[in-house]
This record gives sequence, C-alpha cells and structure tokens, in this order.
Amino acid sequence: MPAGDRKIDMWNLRNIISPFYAWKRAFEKPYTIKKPLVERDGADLYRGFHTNDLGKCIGCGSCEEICQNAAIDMKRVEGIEPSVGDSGLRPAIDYGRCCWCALCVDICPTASLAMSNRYNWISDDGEDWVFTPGVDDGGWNEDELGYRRAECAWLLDPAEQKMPVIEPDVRKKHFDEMALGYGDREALDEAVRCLDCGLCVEACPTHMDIPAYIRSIRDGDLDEGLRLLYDTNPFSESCGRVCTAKCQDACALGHLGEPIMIRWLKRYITDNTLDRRNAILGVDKHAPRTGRKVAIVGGGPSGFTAAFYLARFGHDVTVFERAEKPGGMLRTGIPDYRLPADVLAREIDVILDSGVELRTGVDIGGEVTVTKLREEYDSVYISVGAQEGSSMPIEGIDLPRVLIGIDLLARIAAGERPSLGDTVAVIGGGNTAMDVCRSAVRLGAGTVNVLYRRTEKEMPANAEEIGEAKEEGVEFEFLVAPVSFSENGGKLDVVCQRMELGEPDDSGRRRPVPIDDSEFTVTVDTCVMAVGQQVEGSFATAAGVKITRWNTFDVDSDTLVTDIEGVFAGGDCETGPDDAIRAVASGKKAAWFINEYLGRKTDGR
Amino acid sequence: MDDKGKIRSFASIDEILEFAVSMEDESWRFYTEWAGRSENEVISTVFREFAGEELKHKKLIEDVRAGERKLKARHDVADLKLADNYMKPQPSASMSYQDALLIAIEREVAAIELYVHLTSVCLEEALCAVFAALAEEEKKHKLKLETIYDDTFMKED
Repeated sequence: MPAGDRKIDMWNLRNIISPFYAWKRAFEKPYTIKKPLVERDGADLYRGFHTNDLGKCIGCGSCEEICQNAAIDMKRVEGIEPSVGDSGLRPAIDYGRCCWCALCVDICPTASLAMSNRYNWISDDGEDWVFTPGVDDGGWNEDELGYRRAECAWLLDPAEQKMPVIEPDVRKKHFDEMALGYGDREALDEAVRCLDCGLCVEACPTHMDIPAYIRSIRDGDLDEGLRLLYDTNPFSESCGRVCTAKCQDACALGHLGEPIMIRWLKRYITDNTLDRRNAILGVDKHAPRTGRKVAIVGGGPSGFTAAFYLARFGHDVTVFERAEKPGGMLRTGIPDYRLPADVLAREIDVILDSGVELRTGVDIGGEVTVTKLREEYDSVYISVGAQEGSSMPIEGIDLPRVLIGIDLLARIAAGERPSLGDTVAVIGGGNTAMDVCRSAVRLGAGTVNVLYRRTEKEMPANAEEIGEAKEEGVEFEFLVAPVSFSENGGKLDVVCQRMELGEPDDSGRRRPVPIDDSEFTVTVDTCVMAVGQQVEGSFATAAGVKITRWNTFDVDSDTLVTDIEGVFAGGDCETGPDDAIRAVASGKKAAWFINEYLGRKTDGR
Repeated sequence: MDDKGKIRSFASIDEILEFAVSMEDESWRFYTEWAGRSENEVISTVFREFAGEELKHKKLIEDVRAGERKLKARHDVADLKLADNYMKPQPSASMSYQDALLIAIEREVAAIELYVHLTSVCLEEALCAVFAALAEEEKKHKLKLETIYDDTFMKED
C-alpha cells in the first residue's frame, strides 16, 4: 500500500491514553534488583575471575605481554620485594578490558595464574574492576574450581636445545674442547623459547642485555648481537663457554621446564661473528684521547675488562701481568676441554687491538711497586685475583704426592701432562675440584675419587660439571674428610673420617660433624687438595694498600676505591675467589669509577 | 695453656665462678698481648676482637656470680672438631688469620677439656652442674670460631 494511502487516525483513544499508562508502575517497588536472587555455579573449568598464587608468581610479565586487550598491568605490591628471579611486580587485571580468553593463564611460566569459576561480582565502584588477584580479596582466590592450564595448552616450550658434545668415552682421552657449539637451527629454536621477560638481566653480575642479544639471534642480526655482548662483557666468548650462568638460574622458564641456555646462545653469537669481530666492534676507531694514563695490575678477566672500557673512554691503558701469558685464572685455572687457550687468546687480542698495551713478566710488588706505578700513572687498578690454593694444616700435607689443585691446573695449562698415577683422590666439592678430577681422568688415572665433607646437595660446583664428571667415570664419596697423609711404599695413605650433617645452625646451614671412631684409610697414588683459593698474602702486603683479614683488598664496595688516592682494586682480590663473570662485572664497575675519578681530576673537582 | 695444672678443690659455686672469671682474664691478656705483638695491623684487630669476646664472657660469668642471670646448660651445641686433627700453630708476630683462628679454637678446646675434667672429678652435684654449664658455654665459643673458620677456609670443602 503506498504510504500516501495509509490512513492514520491521530485521535484514536488508545493513542491518547498510552503515555499515561506508562506511569502505572511509577510508584511500585522496582522490578530490577541489586543482586540476583539465585546464583548459579559456573562450570568446573569456567574462565571466571583470576586467581594468582603469589608464592609462585615471579612477576615476569608474560601475562601482561600476551594480553590482547592490554587488560593487565604489572604493579608493585606492598610486602613483595624484588629479588633475583622475581621482579616484585604482580599482575593487576582491568575487568573493563579483560575478555576472559585465558591466554595469560596458558602462558604463565610458573602456573601461578589460574581462573576461578566465579562470574558474579557486583560493585558500584568502577575502581574495583582493576583487580590484583592474590592481593585483592574477591573471595575466590582459594577456589579449587575454575580454569587451569592443561599441560597440552602451555604456550611455552619447556625443553632446552641440547648442546652437542663429544661422547664421554672419547673426550676423557684428551683435553680438546668437549662442547661443539650450537648450529643455526639449534640456536634459533632455543632463542624463540625466550619470553623476553628480562629477569635474567638483574641476575647477571654485569647486567648483560640478555633478552636483546637473544632477540638478535631471532632477527638473524648477529652483528648487533655481538655489539650488545661487548657493551657489558668483553669476555663474552669465554663466558659463552664457562660462565656459571646465574642468568639461567633466574630464567622464568626454569620453574616448570628447562631454562633458556643463555650461555650457549652467547657462544653462538661469538662463534659466528669471529671472522669480522674487530670490524663489527669498530675496535680500531679509538675514542678521542684524554691524555690520562691508567695502570692495570693483573691481566685476568677483571683487569682486561677494566682496560677495555677505559680505552673506550679514551684513556691510555697499560696492563701489567706477572706471567708470560695473560688471562689470569681463565688461562691457568680452567682446562682446555672447557675453555681452549686459543679462544681466550683471541678474545684478549680484541682488547689489545682496541689500544690497550700489555706488559707481561712484570712482577708488581717486586721491583715495581704499586706506589711507584701510582707516581707514573693517573690511576691504578689492582686485579691480581686469588691465585693461591688453600690447604689444610694436617699431618703429611707437605708430602710430594699431595698436590694443590690450582697449582696442578696451572701446570696443565702451561702444557705439562704430569702423571698422577692410577688412583687419584681429590678433596673438595667446588668447580676447582671438578676441573681437577676431570683433568686427572684425562691424564690417564684409572680411578678418580672425589672426597667431599658434605653431601652432593651442598657441593658448590655446578650441577652440570658434577654430571659431566660422573659421565667421565669420576666417583664421589660424600661425608668424608681427610685427617692425615702418610707415605706407604710408593703410595699415599689418606686417613679419612666419616661425617654426618648436624642440625641447622643460626644461618640455616647443616654443618658436617665428624663421627667418632669412623676413621678409614684410602690408598692412592696422588691426592689433590681443591678446598679453596685465596689472595697471595705477600702481594697484598707488598702492595701497601689496606687489606682485610682475608688478605683481600679493603675497598669501598660501591666505588672500588682503596685507601690510596687514585688506586682501585676489584675482582677476586677484592671479593675473594669467585667466578669469571663477577670479575668482569668488577672490571666494568672499576672502569666507570676510574673514569669518573679521572674526569674529576681534569675538571679540578 | 696447661690449665689442668691449676686444678684445685672448690668449696663453693662462687669459688668456681671466680676461677672462671680468672680464666677469661687470662685469655683476655693473651689476646691483648698478641694484638700488640703482631706485625700485621689486621691480625692485631682480630686479636683485639678476640680479647673483646673474652671480656663479654667474663661479664656473663660475673653476672651469674652476682645472681643477675643463670648459666643455661645446653647439650645440643655442635662440635665440628675442626682443629682436632690440625697441626697447632704457635703464636708469632707474622701469624695469619688462619693461624689466629686455629690458636683461638685451640684455647677454647683447652678450656672445654678443663671444665669437662672438673665436672668428672667433682663430688657435689650443684658444683658439677656449674662446671658442666661452663663447659657448654666454652663449646658455644668454640663453635662460633669453628663456623668462621669453616666459612672462610673450607668454602669448597
């Protein structure tokens, strides 16, 4: 019917009354109510409001990163402090944005996030809808029902790419490097596992930008990766082989899977940029010279790291090394099968190519003193390490068949291949003990037995090293300590005592306590003591710098400055024996504060 | 230190405590003397600390003597026996921190042995209890030193 033909009766009675009819219920009780009368339970796996187990949550921010609606913000929570492997932040969820897709739950590396099956929540206050699960009380955080991530739904790959290594039966016959390095496929597969959360950065003593250099592998830009490595660590190639990898201990993936193999990825970058390293780093492009001279005493990782960054600042740097070859403990304390000498040498060459001068065979503390150096140089950095092996003052310790671990490793590093006989006992449970026992295997010993005073759980050595030693046939005897040594017809009798762990003391440690009348004798060809290291007392005294009771240098721990103006000290000689990455961190810090000091001198501040 | 040479009979708890105070005094004198004789200022500081510890021990016993506190005999003090098999260093002007700790541990061992011996030969139960408590007190001192030694010189063992 055409519109014009429609007949509209404007004055129909109903049309007149209708507006008034609407007022009929105006004064009745409202039909809508504030809270539904009948609550219905959500399904068992319903994706309701979030829950968070604060004890498990590490604040990695993966939930925030994956949320497609930007509904999650990581926030500080009162009472939760940042620590290694925990940012201290916790997710806060804006339910005005959340679409309950549960991607945050499916990616959570610790399974701390889950969802309750509650879906009813009434509040007049819009602020309530930004909710921090586990902190704000919605009444459902302890609920057992609701969505939990199924194993098959985890968005992360928990398995590491294994480093290809030479088989134990083959590698134990020589000192050739045992780890062969990642290929392109393995490196990429490992790199894509990274969550980019950055918890590792804080755990690394020198704060390497780990997520960024892993990203460079994903992006296929290894040149950028190398530049990032050298921004914080000029010993990245060595650390890519022997770093204790505290970063991996902090890796978010390590909670329910295997951490990212950060160390091997670092090595991958250095291995695959080797032929153009100097060009990428631009080591020949020296910074404008400042005319300031810095002497570094000790050519180990800490000294050379300081030298590298000081040269970058434009200072003239000379490294004085007592030995004929530089490298410190990286050269003398770590066997070739873990860190080949030529790898270390070419890495030091990069530092020397950047304009650092090296003088070897100079014994500071003898003819040349720290005081004399200080007169000739604007600043001095002491980084002589802790190269003296500790011993035990027990009977027979001076017998020729009792060796000091760190001295034995230095002889091996120098090319000697001493015969230790068929049976060798190694005393100690640290990384030095592992290097010694595995070297003893390579030197031809048929039986190598590590005697340790505590249990495997308390061993300070890396679990990886312990595992590799076992693969190579090293045997371990725990809760055993030597009491005395004596010659026995061309052999060595080691009288030992059995121990038990006592109750935890105030520090929470269970200390080994000897068991009465538990002595027994082990007869071996050689016993190697690897119970610790210390700073050489004679150098510490000769340096004329204030030292501590442990013979370490007494410095301001923030600035590494000693009691002599312009003289700094760092690395193992400041902290006591520690790992390479801490020495590197110390060297980097020293460079920064020495540069500050030299700047103040220039400015007349 | 041949403390057993000083063994005599004790008629009262007060006499025992007086003897214990004299022992602490002697240790204080020993450490103070070597703080002065050490060539190394750092080791002198260590000995001054040891001497300070002895003063604290002396104060504790004096408080007990004055009735202001009681000796509590604990029987769960661990004995790490670190020094049992170690060669005993002699105090010298050039001694190291390691030597200093071993010397101090050895002195505590001697004190424990003395009090344990006195406990064993004591006839009166009340006096025995005091000797036993003093032995336990010395064990605590020894454990403190042994723990420092363990943490410092046996880190990887």
